[in-house]
Amino acid sequence: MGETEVGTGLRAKLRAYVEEAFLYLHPDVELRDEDQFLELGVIDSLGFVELVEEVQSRYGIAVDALEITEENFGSIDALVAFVERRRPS
Amino acid sequence: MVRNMGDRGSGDPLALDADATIARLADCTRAAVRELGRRGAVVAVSGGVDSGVVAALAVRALGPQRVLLLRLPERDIGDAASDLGLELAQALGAPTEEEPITAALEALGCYRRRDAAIRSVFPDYEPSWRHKLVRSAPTGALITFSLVVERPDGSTERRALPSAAYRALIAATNMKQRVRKLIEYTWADQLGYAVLGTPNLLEYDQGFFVKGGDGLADVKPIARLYKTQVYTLAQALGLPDEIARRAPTTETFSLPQTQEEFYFGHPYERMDLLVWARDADVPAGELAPRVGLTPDDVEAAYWEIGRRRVATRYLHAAAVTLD
Repeated sequence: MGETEVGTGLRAKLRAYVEEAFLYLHPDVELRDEDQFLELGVIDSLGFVELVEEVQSRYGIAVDALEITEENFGSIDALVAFVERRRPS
Repeated sequence: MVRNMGDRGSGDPLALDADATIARLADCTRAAVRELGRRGAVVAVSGGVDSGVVAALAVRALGPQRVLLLRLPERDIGDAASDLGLELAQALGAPTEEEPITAALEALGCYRRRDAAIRSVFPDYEPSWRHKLVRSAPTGALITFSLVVERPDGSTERRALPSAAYRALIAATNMKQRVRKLIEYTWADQLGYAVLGTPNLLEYDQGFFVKGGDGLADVKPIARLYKTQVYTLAQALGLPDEIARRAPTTETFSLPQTQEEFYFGHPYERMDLLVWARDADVPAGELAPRVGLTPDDVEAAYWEIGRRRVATRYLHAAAVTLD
């Protein structure tokens, strides 16, 4: 994926947030970076709104409603790619 | 199995024999009430078609004197709904009681909680402003919600609703459905009656109800009927015109609000076909021209229907008992 060193840190931070916010009642789930949150059933649609709010406030990204898709927010991989693409340099 | 739209011959997969359906549902309602050991039925009537059909079925099943129609007006909805309920009761010859719920909701803090949630998005909001909740378009993106307020000068403004405000607003407004249900069960206890619920198939299947509110009932006579089928029965049952033709609303917010803009994202006629076709494995490309959507839009709708079923399992779940 050609991820930068900064991106690796970003991945760890996003994963830590997702685990803390959404996986604390799912200790049996071993979340892989490509796993889809919806398919695993660990984040509901309102949970995605919380995830989007976190990304907006943490990285200063304005997210349009049409961007709130599984492609952008549906997995750790998707999140990292979206934030890398959109955050202010 | 992949089905095609012509499988049912007439071209309308939701066509039904209204008289036979009415007779069957009335028989089953009577049997269910008897099985529960109750001697009549309470139906809360909103002035809408669903509760109108359930009330009429109850009268067919049990006779008008074994049915109590409750009208539960609330200030955000206005009195017109209660007036329609009265018209229905008169048409059916059934007893009716009116119990306004505004004072109870005021005392419980429903409006205070709701107004605080709205002010977190519109700090200058005044309780006199009408408002409603609106979902995002059904594009295949995840569903998000916006709040619309109408200012005193008549202008409206729409802002995205953060998750905490959304939860607080829904929690507050769900009190309306739960207080209505409290009154229904109070009357049911007093009379030895069962409570009939009024969800149709779309609401039941897609989880569009409040747990412990309109989702709570002893019998749900029309939970397997699509909305278009409910309208068909309303005509066959001879309900007053204004009820038989009334558009579905949410009975919750002060600005006029359809179920489409709050929840389903599609008008009920289309939503009926989408739910039916998804379950019948009709390919999106085949359904698309029938419902006036692109195949991609149909796929997005199929996806949402499945997602909603998963997301609302909690609403259907009975209490978990432990060994």
